[in-house]
Amino acid sequence: VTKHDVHQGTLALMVLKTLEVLGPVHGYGIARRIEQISGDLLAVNQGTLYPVLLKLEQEGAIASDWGTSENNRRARFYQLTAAGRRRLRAEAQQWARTTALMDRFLAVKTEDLA
Amino acid sequence: MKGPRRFVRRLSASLLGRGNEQRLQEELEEHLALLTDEYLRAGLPRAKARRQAAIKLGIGHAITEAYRDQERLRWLEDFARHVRLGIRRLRHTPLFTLAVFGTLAVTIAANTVVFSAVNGLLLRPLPMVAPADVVVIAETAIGGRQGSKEVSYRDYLDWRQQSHAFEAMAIVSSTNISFVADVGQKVMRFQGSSVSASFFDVLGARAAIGRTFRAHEDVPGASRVIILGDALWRRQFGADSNVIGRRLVIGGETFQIVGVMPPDFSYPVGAEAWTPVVPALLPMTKRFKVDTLSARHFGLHTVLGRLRHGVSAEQARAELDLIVRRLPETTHSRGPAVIVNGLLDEIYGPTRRGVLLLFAMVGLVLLIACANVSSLVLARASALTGAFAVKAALGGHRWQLMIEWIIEIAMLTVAAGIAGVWLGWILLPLVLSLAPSSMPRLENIRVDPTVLVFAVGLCVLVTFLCAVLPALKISERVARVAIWRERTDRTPASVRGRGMLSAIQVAFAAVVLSAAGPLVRSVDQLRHWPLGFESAHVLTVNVEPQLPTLAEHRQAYEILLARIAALPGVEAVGATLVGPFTRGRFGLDSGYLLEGQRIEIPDSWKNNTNLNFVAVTPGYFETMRIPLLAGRFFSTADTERAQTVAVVSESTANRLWPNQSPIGKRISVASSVTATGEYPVQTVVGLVPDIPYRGLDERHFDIYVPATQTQHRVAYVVVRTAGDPLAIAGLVVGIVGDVARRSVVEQVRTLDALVSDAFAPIRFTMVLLVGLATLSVIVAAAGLYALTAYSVSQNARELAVRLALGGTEARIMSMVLWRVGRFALAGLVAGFLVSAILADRLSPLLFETPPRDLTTFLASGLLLGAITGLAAFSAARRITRIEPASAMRAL
Repeated sequence: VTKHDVHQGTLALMVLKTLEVLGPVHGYGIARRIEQISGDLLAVNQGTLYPVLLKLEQEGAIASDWGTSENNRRARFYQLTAAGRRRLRAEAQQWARTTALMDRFLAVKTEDLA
Repeated sequence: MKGPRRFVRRLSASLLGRGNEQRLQEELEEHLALLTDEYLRAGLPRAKARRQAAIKLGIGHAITEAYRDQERLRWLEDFARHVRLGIRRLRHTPLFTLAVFGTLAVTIAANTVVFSAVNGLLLRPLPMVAPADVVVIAETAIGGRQGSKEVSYRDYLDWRQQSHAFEAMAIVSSTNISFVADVGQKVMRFQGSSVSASFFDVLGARAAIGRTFRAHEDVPGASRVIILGDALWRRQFGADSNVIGRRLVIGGETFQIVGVMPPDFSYPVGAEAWTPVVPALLPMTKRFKVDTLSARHFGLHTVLGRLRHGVSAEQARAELDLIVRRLPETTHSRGPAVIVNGLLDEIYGPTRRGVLLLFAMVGLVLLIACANVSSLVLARASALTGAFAVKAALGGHRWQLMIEWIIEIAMLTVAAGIAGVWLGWILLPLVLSLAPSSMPRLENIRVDPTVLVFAVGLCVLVTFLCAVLPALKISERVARVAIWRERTDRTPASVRGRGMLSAIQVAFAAVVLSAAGPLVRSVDQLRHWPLGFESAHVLTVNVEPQLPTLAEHRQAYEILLARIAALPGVEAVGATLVGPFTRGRFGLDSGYLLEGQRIEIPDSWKNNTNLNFVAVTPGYFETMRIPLLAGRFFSTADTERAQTVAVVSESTANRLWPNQSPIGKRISVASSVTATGEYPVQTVVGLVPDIPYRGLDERHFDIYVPATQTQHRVAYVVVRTAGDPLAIAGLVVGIVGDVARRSVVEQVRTLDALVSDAFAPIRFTMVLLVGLATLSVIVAAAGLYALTAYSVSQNARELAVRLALGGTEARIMSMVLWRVGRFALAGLVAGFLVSAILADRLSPLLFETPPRDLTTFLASGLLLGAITGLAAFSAARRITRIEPASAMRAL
C-alpha cells in the first residue's frame, strides 16, 4: 500500500474522528491533524480531502459553514452532525472488530493449530 | 438511508446545474494560503514556500474532477449531453429522421391497433374453465354445400353412452330460440337456447347468482326453469339480485328463474337465456307429430364435449365416426362422419382467424420496417465512419461511441413508439367504427394496460433491432478503422449483410402481399356476387303476432298486409318466413323426396341435400323485385286447398334437375308437412335466382312454397315504397298494434340497411387488408430504394473506373441490376415459398377463391421487382451521368 493510496472509507473515518476530537475546523486543519497522527500518509494531495468532505456532507454526516480562519480570512468550517456521530461510533466499532480479528488471525502460529 | 439522500442532492445538483465549484476554489485557495504560511514559518522563501504548498495540495484539475464526480450524477450529465448531441445530429439530417420516425410510428400504431383487437377478442378470458378442451360436434350432411347437420336427441344419447373420449357431453339447440315472455299487456322477446343439464358443467361455467341446472330439471314432466344472461337480467330486471325464484310466462308456460350467468357468458353466441332441453323438446312432439326424444331424424342440436385428458379432437372425431356408422339409418340424410370443432373456433369463428392473420401480417410489416430502419441506420453510420474514427483516435472508448450511437437512434425509436401508441389510440375508434356490429365482444377492444405493456415491449424490440444491433456492427467497424481509409462497408461481408436486409424486406413484403391478394379477391368476389333482389326502397319488419292458432295468424297477416298496401306511397307488400340477412346465419333446412324416391328405400334419397325452406305470400317476389326466370310467381289462387306448388332457385333446379327445365317437376318438401302429418307433393311452377338468405358467403338451395300451403308462420313484412321506406315505418308499426296487440315487432329496417350490414364485415376486412398491404409495400419500397441507392453509391468508384475504361452504360446497368436484383430475387422466392406453404391457413377465410393465387404471385413479384429495379436503375444512372474522373476523386 503506497501512502497516496488511502482508502476513501478509511479517510472518511479519519475525518469523522478528527471532527469529533477537534470540533468545528476547516479543511486545512483536518488535513494537518490527519498528517500529525498518521505521519505522512496524507503528505501529498491534501486536496483529495475535499471530495471526501463533500460526500460526507451530502450524506448528512457532517455540516459546514463559513467562518474566519486564524489569519482572519474566510474559511469553510466543518463539524460533526448527530448522524455523523452515530456513524463514527458504528464504523469505529466495526473497524475495531476487523482489526482484532485480523490480529488474532495473523498471530496464529503453526504449533497453535496442532 | 444516507444513499437516497445523497442521490437526491446529486440529482438536483445535476439537474439545476448548481455546482459548488466556486466554494471549492475558495477553500482550496485558503488551504493553499495556510500551507504557504506554514512553510514560511518553517523559514522557506516565499516563492519556494508557495511551490511546496502547491505540491502538497495536489493537482488542481484532478481535485476539481474528483470533486465534481462526488457532487453530481456524472452519468446522467453524460447521458443528457449525448441526448443533446443526438438531437443536434438528427436535426442535421431531417430526411433520415423523418423517414425513421414516420416508418416506425405508423407501423407501431398499426401494431397497437391490431393487438388491441387480439387482446380484446382473444386474450380476455371467457368465464369458462379451459374452453380449449371443449369441442362442438355436429353430424355431416350429404351432398350439401354446407357441411354440418344438426344432431337428434336420440343420437346424442347414444354418443354419450358409447363414447369414451369425453369427460362429459352436453346437447344444445343449434340455433337460438326466440322466447316471447309476457310483460303486463305486452310481450318482450329474447334469444335463448335449450340445453341439457350438463351444459354448464361441460363448459365449466357457474352462475353469478343462483345456480345452474340440476339433473332432475332435465327429465320429462319436470317443472320449467330458466337461467338468465347478464345483459337480459340488467335490461329486463334492473339487475335485481332478488330475481331468483321469480316467475316468467313464456308462450303460456310458467318458468321459474333459478340463476343468472356472469357477464361475458354467451354461448351459443347471442343466447341470453337457457332452459333445460327435455322439457323443451316434449311439447314439440305434438306439434311436429314426431317423438322428439327418440326420432333420429328430428335434429335441432349440436353437441358439446369436454375432451378427456390426453384425448385429441381428432381421436374423438374418429371414435364418433365409428359410433355414427353403427347407428341405424334415418330419413334425414346423415353422413357417415361427424364434424368436430374447437369451442373457441365456434365462438370466435372467422373473427379469430381473421384477427390472428391480421396480427401476423402487421407483425411482418413491423419487421419490414425494422429491416428498413436498420439499413438506413447502417448507411448513416458508414457516412459517419470518418467522424467515429477521429473520435476513436482521440481516445473515445469503443463502447462509449457505441452508447452515443445507441442513444441517438433509441431516441428516435422511443419517440416513434410513443407517437405510434398515441396514433394507434386515436385510430382505434376510427377503425372500430368501420367494424360490423355483429362482431362478438367488440366493446372489449380498447387500449388497456395489457396493450400498453405490449407497446412497451414492441418499443424495446424495435430499439434492439434498429439501434443496438446496428451499433454492434458499427463498433466492429470502428475497431477496424486503424487501417485508415479502409471503407469497411465494401467488404464482401457487409455487401452480403445489406443484401440480406433487402432480401428480408422483399420476402416479408411478398408474404404479406400474397396473403392479402387472395383475401382482397375473395372480398371482391363477394361484392360483385348478385344479390337476386333490389334492396332500394324496401322496408322490412319482423312481425310475430302471438296468436294461438295458425288460422288466426293467417287472418291477422291478411288484414295487416291489406292495410299496409292501402298506405300512401306503398307500391307492393308481401310477407315471408325469413328475409335476406334477417336471421343471421340461420334458416330452415328441409329434406325432400323427388319423384321416384321412396322413404322406405334409403338408397333412393341418400344423396339428397338440404333445401333452404322459405314460405312467402304472393306479393313477396314482386316487392323484392326478384326476377322471374321461368314459369310464374305465386298468386292468390294458390290457396290452402289448391294444388300445392313451389318456386325454386337456379342452384336448386341445377342440382335436382340438371339440364332440364324445373317447371312442372314434382317434389315433396319435408317442411311443408300438413297438420295431419301428410307430405304433399309440390309442382314446381317458377324459377328465380339464388338469394344469399343466410349471409353473403353462404349459398344454399332455396325452395319457396306459398304461405297458405305450410304450417310455418310468416314472420317478416316487406314493403316497397315510392319514397323513403322509413317514412312509413311508424304507420306500419301502428297498424300491427291495431291488428294484433300482443305481437313481437322488431327489426324495423330498410333492406338497404340489412344489405349494408351484411357487407360490413367484408368492407372492414377490405379496408384493413388494403391498408396493411399498402403500408407494407410503402415501407418495403422506401427501404429497398434507400438500400439499393446506397449500395450502388458505394460502388461509384468501381463503376467510374469501368466507365473510364470503356464499359458501356448498358453493360454497367445490367451489372448493377444483377448485383442488387439477385438478393431481391432470393427474397421474393423465399417469400413465395413461405406463402405457398402457409396458404392453406387462408382457405377458411376465402370465398370461392383459391388460397394460392397465381395472379397475386405474379403481380406482387412484378411490383417488388419493379421497385428494386427502379431504385437500382436511378441510382446507377446518377453515377453514370457523373464525369468518371470526378466520381473517382469523390471517394
